[in-house]
Amino acid sequence: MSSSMWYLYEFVRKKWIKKFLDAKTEKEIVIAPKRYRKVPPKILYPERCISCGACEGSCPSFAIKLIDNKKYNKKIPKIDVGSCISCGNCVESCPTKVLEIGVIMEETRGLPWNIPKYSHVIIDEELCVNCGSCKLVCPVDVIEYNGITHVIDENGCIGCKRCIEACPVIDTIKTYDEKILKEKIDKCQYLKFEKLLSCDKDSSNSNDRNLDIKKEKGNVYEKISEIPRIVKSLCISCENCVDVCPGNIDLKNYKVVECVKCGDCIEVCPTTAMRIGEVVKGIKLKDKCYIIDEKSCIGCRICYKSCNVDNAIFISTETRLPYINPELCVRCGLCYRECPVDAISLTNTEKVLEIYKIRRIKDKFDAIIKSDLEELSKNYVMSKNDIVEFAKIKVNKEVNKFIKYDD
Amino acid sequence: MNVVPIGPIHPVLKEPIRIKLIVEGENVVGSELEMGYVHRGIEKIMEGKHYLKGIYLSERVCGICSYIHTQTFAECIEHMSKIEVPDKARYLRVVTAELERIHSHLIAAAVYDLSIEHETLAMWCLNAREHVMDLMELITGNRVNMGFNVVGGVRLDINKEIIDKIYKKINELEDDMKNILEVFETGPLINLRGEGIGVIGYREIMKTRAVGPVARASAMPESDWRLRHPTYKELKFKPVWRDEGDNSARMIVRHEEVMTSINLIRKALELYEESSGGVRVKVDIKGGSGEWKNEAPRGEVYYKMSLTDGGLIKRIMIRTPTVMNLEAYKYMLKTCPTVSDAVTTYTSIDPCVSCTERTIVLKDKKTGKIKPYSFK
Amino acid sequence: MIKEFFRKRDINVCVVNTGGCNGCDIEIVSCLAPRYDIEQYGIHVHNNPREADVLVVTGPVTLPWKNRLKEIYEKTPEPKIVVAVGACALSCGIFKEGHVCGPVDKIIPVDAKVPGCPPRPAEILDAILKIAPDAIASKEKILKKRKEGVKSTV
Repeated sequence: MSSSMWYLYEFVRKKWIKKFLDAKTEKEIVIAPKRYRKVPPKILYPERCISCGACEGSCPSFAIKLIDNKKYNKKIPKIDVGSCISCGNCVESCPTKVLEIGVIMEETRGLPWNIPKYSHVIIDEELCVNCGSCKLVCPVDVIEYNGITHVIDENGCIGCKRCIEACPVIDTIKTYDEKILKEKIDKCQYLKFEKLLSCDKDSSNSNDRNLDIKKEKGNVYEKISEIPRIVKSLCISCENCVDVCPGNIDLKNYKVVECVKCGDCIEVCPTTAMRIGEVVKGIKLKDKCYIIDEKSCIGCRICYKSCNVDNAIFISTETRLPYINPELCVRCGLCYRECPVDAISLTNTEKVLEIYKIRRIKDKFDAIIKSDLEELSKNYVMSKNDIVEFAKIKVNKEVNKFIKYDD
Repeated sequence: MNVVPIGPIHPVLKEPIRIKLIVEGENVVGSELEMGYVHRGIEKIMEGKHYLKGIYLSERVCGICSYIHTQTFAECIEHMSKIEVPDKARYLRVVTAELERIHSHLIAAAVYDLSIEHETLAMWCLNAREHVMDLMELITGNRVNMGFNVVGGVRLDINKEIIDKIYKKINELEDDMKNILEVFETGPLINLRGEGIGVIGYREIMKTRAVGPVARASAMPESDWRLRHPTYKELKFKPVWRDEGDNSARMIVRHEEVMTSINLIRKALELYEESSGGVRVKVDIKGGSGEWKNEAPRGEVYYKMSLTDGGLIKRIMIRTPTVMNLEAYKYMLKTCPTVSDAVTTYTSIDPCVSCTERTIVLKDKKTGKIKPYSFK
Repeated sequence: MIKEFFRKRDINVCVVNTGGCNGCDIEIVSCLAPRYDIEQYGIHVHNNPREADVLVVTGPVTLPWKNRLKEIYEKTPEPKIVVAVGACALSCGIFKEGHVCGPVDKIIPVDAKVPGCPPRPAEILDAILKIAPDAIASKEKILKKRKEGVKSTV
């Protein structure tokens, strides 16, 4: 009896009837856990953002764009909800930890992470003047001097391209992005398979490719004038050149061993590491140049020692103070930073050129006088010697004569 | 000779594929597959990209076995540049990979049960699967495309709370699975639809190079690539296998693999608790090329890639298991009496179309001609 | 009136995978599971475009799908509603450079968008439940008006 009463009571209860009528899943089950990465990532600390564009470059689905924000007066990432795939690359790439998705930023702080980028930067060792301007502006401190040249650590670079703006020489820091790399790889594959197919056609039974090379060496190849060299710091060892080369390239030692001068390797190199001919240093800042104030200069010659460009700073013979050659100076500002008494400042190039010309002419004049004097004294010494010799011979002859007469 | 066209959008199919069944009366004589509906050119997109972008693309080769693709990708690069992965990360990889195997096998079982019109069992499987999905979300932060693996380890560490939850859920799952396995093995209707249908023997497996549970159901336990994986060797893994080679054998292999996966997770978690250190190491990638194989839920996944310094992908090749298994489907069709049996056989090889959508190029050894391959 | 009421309680869904990675598909499948149990809300997943009210499109539209998707859209009965699920369907997501001809709304009109890669089943359910009844009702009204307009002109 009591049990049936209980059932009756239970069935009539409002909650049960409600449950029976709209049997829906409980809400608690569908609540996401703490780690769930809900799209899009939140911009938690916009005031920390340095507008470097690391998030933009690291996004595999191109969902992030940097857009001007009036409130913070800088560029701030805007994330397209529709494109975001909740991978969290942007959160981990951000150098100042602005973004957050799930708890990734909180839990992965301090863990090692290589930053993916859309466009990569790389320093050309043949053009680099080792001024260290790039090192100063780098927000993540990944540029190091290795004794020969400055090198960007590929894993830590965020691709903000501030180093390119700071670099005084045109095209020293080269960029290559996914699109260029893709095109070059395509071209490489095309060339490679075209070559293989033509080899098959020509010699159906022999696999000796060297024979073909020798046959064609005279007429088809010889497109370029000299054997190309490999710039070590630019090479990313993609082996595109090895794939297309009919000869032999030793990428481990950065040497072209056997060459038929077909020029294919220069075409397929994504970073222009394959190179022929001399490179010219183009200077960005042409109408301004550094000048050394001769009144405040103490003649310590630190600028002369620190300058890495050949023949950019001379020492005047008249004043014993350094002066700058504006035709060769790259305006890197290394001397300006190194000078202990702030004697170096930036002015118009014409002014510097004027001073340079005066000093140079004076120097040359001095040098001419000096060399003339040297020659004169040299001649004097030489003639003196000659006279002495001549005199000796003459005296000897005379003496001999006297001796004969005596006999 | 009549042709029954199925797809690309059809109540039976979950993924777009066009099947033309050639029938004589009720008997299926032959079949023709038309694919390319899910071809997105992943390998082509990956060219020139950074490996940390590529790993998300490899994750999206297939949504069901997404984790094992990232693991193979990461392990391939680690093998190439000789990166030592910390112990914690290795065991976490095993835990997540096995959880994914459970979820994949359960969804395969559910689809098979639906195709033999046994909806109750399908719902049981799906219900058990939800707990696994919860665990994966708890560990990695996403249900399907987890983004958990990075080259040199895993992304996040787990804490004591999560370990306790995994143990609890796994114990519940084991009870559920025992029940489901008992029903599957003893249910008379299920056996009627499965036994002696879609039979493939050892010889045909060798001929078609079928992999995964399809091969293991036809007496080929050595096809399991987990036997050759260094971490699984530590866990003393033993593969499950059968020798009947029919539909129900394939499904029972899948069900039993869920049980072994549960044991593997337990062992891996024990070893995880003993080990110490971080979950990620700093990696420095050197250029070169290499390859790696792993056991996905459906069979063997093969990655071959060449990279530049700094980890830009130059060329990548992915081979997925369903490509080989679909070839075996041709031999299974000989023992399918009706059209509906052909459909159940199709679901029993657990095909994954979006895995399969790679361009296959065959080179004839005698003539040297190169032509794209089509399933006919 | 009665038809409208029952339409609200009974929605047929057709899932079209136009080339995604299966991730969104299996999330829709897990909507069928007892945990979420999509049928308790009166939503039936049939995968048959001819009787569907709601087309759930997942994945970027690949080249062979371009014309087929249009055909399927024409085949569905008149108050047709399209829900694009996942990042790929909204903007091609990660496959922007691949062999795809664009997001879904470039080819057919889309009524609701569910972002995420993939979205959780609860989010998909929520979206379908939010959009479907109202949208069906409003579209029905537009249709009626158009019919009346046609009649009056005749």
